[in-house]
Amino acid sequence: MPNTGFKIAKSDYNITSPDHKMIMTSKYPVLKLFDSDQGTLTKSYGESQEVVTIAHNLGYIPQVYVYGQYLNENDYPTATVVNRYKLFSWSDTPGLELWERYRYYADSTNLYIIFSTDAYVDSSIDLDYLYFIFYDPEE
Amino acid sequence: MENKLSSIEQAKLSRVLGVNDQRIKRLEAFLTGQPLGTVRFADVSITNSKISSLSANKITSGSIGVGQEISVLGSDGNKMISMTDDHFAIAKQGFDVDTTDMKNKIIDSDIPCLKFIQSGKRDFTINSSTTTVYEETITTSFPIMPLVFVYQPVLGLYKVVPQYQWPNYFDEYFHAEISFDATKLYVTVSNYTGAQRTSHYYWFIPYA
Repeated sequence: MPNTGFKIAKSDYNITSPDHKMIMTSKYPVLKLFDSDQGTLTKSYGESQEVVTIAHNLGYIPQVYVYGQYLNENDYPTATVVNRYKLFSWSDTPGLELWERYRYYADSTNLYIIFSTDAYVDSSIDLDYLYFIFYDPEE
Repeated sequence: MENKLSSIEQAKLSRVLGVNDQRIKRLEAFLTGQPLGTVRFADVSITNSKISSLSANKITSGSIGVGQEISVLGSDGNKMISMTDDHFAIAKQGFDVDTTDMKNKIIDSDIPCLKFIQSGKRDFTINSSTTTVYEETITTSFPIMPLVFVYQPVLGLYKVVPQYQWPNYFDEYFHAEISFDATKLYVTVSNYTGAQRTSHYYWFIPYA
């Protein structure tokens, strides 16, 4: 890279220090937020899956991250919600009472947040989620 | 008694002001559009009132008026950096900061970027057949994106803490997971290796 650009060094370091001692450098992009918000996913009783679709229309696959609440495994079949968040995607262990799957992915148009279970529970389920969509492409 | 300048004093003052004005104009003519170190001031009118310290190859402080811009051109001729009174942006090499999509920018002050608001390290010792929940206080408001790397003492390497609940038997019976709410980050560590383990983890709270 030519000797043109912009650097901010961490405290006690000089801009001639290695790149990892910089607060930022124009050599590397930072993650730039396109959209983030909170929401609630509702899976009704009797449904095996619920999909939340969030449009971004960027025309390419962006970097996306989703965190969401999850179910307490010990409360089958009432399936109470744990009021904490975990990074999706993950799934509970097959073979337990509730085989729930918490997933997300993006295409060039939308972000999809998916919650599914293999066993029905005796009530609808509301899971709060946080999502982040960045301008920076997936690849 | 009326406080008035004499004609001689007025003449002296007028001469001083005239000399100062000429100096400022020469400075402006020298700086406008001229390379100064690696910075080109093509679009900004710089006066003494805006610059408190000027040396041979750098300006150490100053201000930009409305509608004025300081820009830096890359070796390919593209405007790589732009700074105005209310906006700052850097484009990736090969792109012009005024015309490119956001994905081709390094940073843009109109767009929030991910910043590591909080971080820390926790050392711990955990007995075998034990699960312990460590708590870190979160002072940043939602939405946040916690990130944890835990040291695997048997493997001798760091792993991004998995989010699922079940131990990974292919690695070892040393397992961690994280969850969080609005005030706490919870790092749950389970040790079923058959021996006490000393380890640590690094945690980060990125925020955009």
